[in-house]
Amino acid sequence: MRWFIHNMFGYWLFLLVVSCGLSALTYIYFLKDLMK
Amino acid sequence: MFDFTVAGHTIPLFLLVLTGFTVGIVGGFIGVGGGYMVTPALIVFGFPGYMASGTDACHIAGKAVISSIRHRQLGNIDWTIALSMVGGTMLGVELGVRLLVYTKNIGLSGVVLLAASVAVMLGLFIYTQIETQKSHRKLEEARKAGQEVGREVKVSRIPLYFQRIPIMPIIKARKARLVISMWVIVIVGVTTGVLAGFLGVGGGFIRVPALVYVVGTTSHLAVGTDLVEIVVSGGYGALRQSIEGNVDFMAVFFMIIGAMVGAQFGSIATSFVRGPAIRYILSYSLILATVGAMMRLIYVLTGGTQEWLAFVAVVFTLGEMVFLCLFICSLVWFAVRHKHGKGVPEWVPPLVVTT
Repeated sequence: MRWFIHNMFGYWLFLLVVSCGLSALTYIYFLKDLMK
Repeated sequence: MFDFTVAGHTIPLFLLVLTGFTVGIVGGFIGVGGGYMVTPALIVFGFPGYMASGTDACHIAGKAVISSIRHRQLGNIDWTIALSMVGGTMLGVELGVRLLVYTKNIGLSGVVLLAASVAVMLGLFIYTQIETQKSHRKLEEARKAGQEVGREVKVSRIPLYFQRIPIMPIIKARKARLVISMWVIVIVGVTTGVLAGFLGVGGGFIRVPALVYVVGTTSHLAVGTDLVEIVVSGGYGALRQSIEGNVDFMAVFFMIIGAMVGAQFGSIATSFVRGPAIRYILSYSLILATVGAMMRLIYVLTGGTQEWLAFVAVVFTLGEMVFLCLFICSLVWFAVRHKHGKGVPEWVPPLVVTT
């Protein structure tokens, strides 16, 4: 966990995974139905 | 009550406000329009392609006005450079669009254009990343040695070559503190305009690095000056799209409501960081846009048969908006913590302003 915060690349990777995870959940549970 | 209908689709208003807000933060911070994020997002929300593109152009122009006003107050606009460049930019965009039509007429496929835009953005990402990492290390060393460091540190020597070109008229950009041939600025405007018009990517992506690495301005000035260019070029695009009837003004209205707050925050956030932090976020947005374009390229090359790619592309488009927004917000948060003497990650202190 320390590497993810104190290394800039690690922090970049951590935020990207969190963002894409949030987006995937939003899409699956919310936007997918909206687009039908 | 909280939804409205566009082209037969019901779209929740908060999604439009949220899109305007997040793209406003990113655009205000790195000086780009954000069309590469908004158009795909609007298509995901159910807008038809032509409507997404027109609505996006109109929203970008409005957002650029808000960001420009704030950057003007922060002293981040060099009007001499902005006004010298604007004519070249407009000419370049028109030439780029005509070149695009010509290449389509001679049968050059969309795959080639997509591949070219991937190559340009990848090249810019690699150069920006290498230069910014060197600047970051230089800042770190200066900080450890206890030296006073300003808001900007650059290691690129390319601007010095362009500033030595002795072709009249030579202009003096007072804010940027540089003397340069006006032709260099005009040619930068034309070249970046052609690339923007031809490749269909936002001009800001190419213009901000060009202002930093060719003209030699600071990152803060490049962001503010580029937003003035976007007001003009985006305004022209918005006018053309409105005449064509491709704009949903209700959607633009709600996106601008979000952008009013986001663009203010993004613009103010630049005063918390040093130049390399802006260039880092710019390079991250470049690589994310490149990956997005590569996904579209693979999707086209496989004949649209890979359904999972469409899902990944949607998640990635929304994810990059959230990612850039979170990164900028966390930088501001770290800057405030550092200012108050609280603990921050080791890579943060050289990138943030403490005074």
